[in-house]
Amino acid sequence: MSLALEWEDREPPLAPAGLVALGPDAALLAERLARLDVSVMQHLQGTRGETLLALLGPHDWLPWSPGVIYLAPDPTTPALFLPTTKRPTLPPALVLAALTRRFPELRLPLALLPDCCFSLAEAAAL
Amino acid sequence: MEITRTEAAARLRAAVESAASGLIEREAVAEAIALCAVAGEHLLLIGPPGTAKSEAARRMAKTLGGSYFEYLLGRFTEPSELFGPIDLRRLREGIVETETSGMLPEADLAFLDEIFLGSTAILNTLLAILNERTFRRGSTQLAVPLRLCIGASNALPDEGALAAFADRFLVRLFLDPVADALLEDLLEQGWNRQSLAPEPLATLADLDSLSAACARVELASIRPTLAQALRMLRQAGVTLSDRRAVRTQRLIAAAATLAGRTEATPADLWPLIYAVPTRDEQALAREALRPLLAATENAALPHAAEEASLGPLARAQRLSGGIKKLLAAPPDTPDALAAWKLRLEGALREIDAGFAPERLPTDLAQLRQKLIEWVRV
Repeated sequence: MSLALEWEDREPPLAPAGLVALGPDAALLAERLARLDVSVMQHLQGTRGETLLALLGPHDWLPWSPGVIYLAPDPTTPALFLPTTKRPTLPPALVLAALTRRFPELRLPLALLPDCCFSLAEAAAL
Repeated sequence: MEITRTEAAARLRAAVESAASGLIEREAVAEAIALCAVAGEHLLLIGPPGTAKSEAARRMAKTLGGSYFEYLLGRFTEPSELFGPIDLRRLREGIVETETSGMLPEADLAFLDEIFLGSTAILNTLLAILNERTFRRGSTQLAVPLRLCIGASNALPDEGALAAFADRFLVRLFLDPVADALLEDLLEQGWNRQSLAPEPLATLADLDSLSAACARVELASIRPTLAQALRMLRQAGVTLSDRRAVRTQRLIAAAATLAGRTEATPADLWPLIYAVPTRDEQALAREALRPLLAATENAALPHAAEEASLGPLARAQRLSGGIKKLLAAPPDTPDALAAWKLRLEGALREIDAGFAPERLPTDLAQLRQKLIEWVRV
């Protein structure tokens, strides 16, 4: 799905509270998760889509894997997770309202990237 | 023998690193102490009890050498506890003189905890020490060697008279307890701290040399930018007294000196944030000055510069410095190697969460590549 939104850099970036790996990067992230210590895993929640794998958790516990995009809730609209380094040029509340109208099947919170939108509502303990 | 500025700056940097290495998340405090010591300004640390305020000061004092005086003030603290007892022999002669040996008037660096609990008599005497570097009590009048006084408190005072006293502390740092994920590191560092006591790595002569260089820094070209920044702050509703605005120039000059510059540039504007009096106003100031702060950096004080500006250059510099140190010492035992690789992953996370790929500075991109190579091994 494609969304006609303009994006700008966010400075300073937000502290990450989640991450997403798309396409082939999702498999790499899954491999990394398999090697994570249980003491780290207990701080994380995850959700999987057809072509993505997303995690939520405190930023110091989030793993790194090639290609992942770190996410954080927008400070003014916490139900909308955005990339930590980018934001839409439109007000996030307006963007969220438009997304919920366009994708009524997606439950909050939502995550929005320049080329996709997905729900984080199903995130559960790993 | 004359000390070159470069050598003195390198030793001060080593002193800061050594002092900060025994603490968790207090690098910016150690760097702010160095900045203030070079600028000849005083520092106020605001934060809850147990946030390593005194430990940071103590460790910096050890690495800088010189005499150090530390005291926890209370409502019933007597002036003699800070400044020394009355000299009884002289009193018999009808002269009130203070025996200052080993007390605050003879200290090169002082840490005063709960500073706002001091009595009027203490604060008035302190005022002369802080402002004029002069100790006056009875017939005793001494020039004091104090380079820097670090005051600490849980909160800023509301009362007018105390607020006026607090205004003498140009630099203000607001501290929080260590983040959740660093608690293991905190416990380990706390346990090992005794064996990690820092050694003197710089000298007061280094400080004096850097302070002299600071006084010679060319500020003319940065003044219009600083004036513009002050106007932007006023428009944003941030109050900075004229005195603080003027003295901020010393901090900017000290930042330039420690960065190896003889002329201040827009990169040296970041200490202005620390001169803003309250935490909320500092946050407002960062927002109002964002375009100016984006160009600020300081390789010698990377944590303090980043904490002040939250700018990308300062962030990149702080990350680069940390990564270079990490990569310089790969451990050789399997357990240590695994823990080290987790730290490398943490650095990769900080890079990828902090910079969009197209905005990643070249040197940081190269370090990122090295991190990935190590993580994959």
